[in-house]
Amino acid sequence: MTTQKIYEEIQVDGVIPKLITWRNRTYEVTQIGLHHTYRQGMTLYHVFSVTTRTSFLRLVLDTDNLHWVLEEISEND
Amino acid sequence: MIDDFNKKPSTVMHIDLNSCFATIEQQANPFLRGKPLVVAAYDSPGGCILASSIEAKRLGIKTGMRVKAGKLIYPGLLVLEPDPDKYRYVHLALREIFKNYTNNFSPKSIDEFVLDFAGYPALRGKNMFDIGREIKAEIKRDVGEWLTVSVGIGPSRFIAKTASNLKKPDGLEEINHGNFIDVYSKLKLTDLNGIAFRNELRLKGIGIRDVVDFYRSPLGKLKAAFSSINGYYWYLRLRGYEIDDVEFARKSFGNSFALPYSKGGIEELRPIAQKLCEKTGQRLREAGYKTAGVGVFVFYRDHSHWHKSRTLGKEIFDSRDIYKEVIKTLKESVLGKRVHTLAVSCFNLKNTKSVQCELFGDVEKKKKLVGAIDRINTSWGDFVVAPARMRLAGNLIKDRIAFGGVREL
Repeated sequence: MTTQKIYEEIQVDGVIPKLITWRNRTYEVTQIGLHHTYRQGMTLYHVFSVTTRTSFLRLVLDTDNLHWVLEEISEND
Repeated sequence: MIDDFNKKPSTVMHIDLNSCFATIEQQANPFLRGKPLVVAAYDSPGGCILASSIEAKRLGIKTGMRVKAGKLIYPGLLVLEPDPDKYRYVHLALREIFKNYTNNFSPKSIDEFVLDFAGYPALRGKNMFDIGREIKAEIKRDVGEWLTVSVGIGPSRFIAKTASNLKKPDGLEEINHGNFIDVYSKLKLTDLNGIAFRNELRLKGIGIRDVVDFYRSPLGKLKAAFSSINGYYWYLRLRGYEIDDVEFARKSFGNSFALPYSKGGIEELRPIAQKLCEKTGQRLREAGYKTAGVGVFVFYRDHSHWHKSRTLGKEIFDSRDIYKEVIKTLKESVLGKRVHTLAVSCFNLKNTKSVQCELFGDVEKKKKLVGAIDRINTSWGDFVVAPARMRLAGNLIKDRIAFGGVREL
């Protein structure tokens, strides 16, 4: 399983991620493994660790600007 | 003399999240489930393994091993670096579940909790096994379906912890006056929490070979073995009497860092010492303490070490003052040797609100400045305002979960 660090903005459909658009490709979330939060200063970040049919993605929502970022993707071998 | 095991009903429960860091990573990424996986301080060959998944443990890959040793056992071993925010989140989520059962619970570490149900309505109409099963089900439902805990039940904290170690993973065991001898007969001395190699030698030195011997030894023999009141504590502990229901006051704050490379010399240590002092000072102040003692520990690459502690004539709280004391102390160490680990600590803690005035220096002004910097860093993120020297340390000293207490959570 190779993991890539990405840190690019993405589009997410819904409050809880169900469909993700990244580099013009759409990914359908099949499972949310874990949802956790952390703070950096006063900013709250929501982290969704999710899987699609073939990949694991780490998605982060910045609650200050409501932007979603794909931090990490790894393909299931 | 107390000959019999405590007949008090078991109301103490010890809960241990199995293979904590590794299991949480498998919870987060379902593709990792069922695979040998470790969480290591660094994913390089020399990285120390902090947690092995249940599958990795079955292959003999243990906490404390290096990554390269783990990969020799199983070349396909998956290695992840820690994600402390995830583990803290799960720890706090577990606390929320336990609060629904009893107010008398205390976290012993990031993955262990002790709950006492004596006098609480949770026990009405249910027994401890019912509650244990309920808690397991709630953890799976509300925190993560991959998470398992080993639950131990007993009349005291020590007995409950011993019970939790009887079956891993996913155990639910009790030790009481009806089965304790049978359980003790299957344990080695070092299976007991608090008995490691040195204490085992001490006991074997007076003819105590196993846990049943340990239990059956008269009080006088145990007092002689430990040469202290610990002999009496062990006598009571093995009989299921509560000795360990004590919260110890905070005695020190410290941070350490293992350098990835070193040429030796104080100049390479300055930025690292600065960052360690900033982290230690911030934690000290957040907990409401000042310090009147500073300690420095250096572990060298040739496996030698050096340490010195200095008791100060005054209390300090400013990380810059802690840094000055650390550097003063460090200059007395063996400089020029390549360093493996640098650690700083503050002891002689004082929990006081008032500030001792000084003849030279405006301490009240310093307190306001440090307080303002702490508030900025709290609002905008760690080390937004920090000494320039610390920038040279970059991202070297990462966020980690300390072994042991979780008092700051």
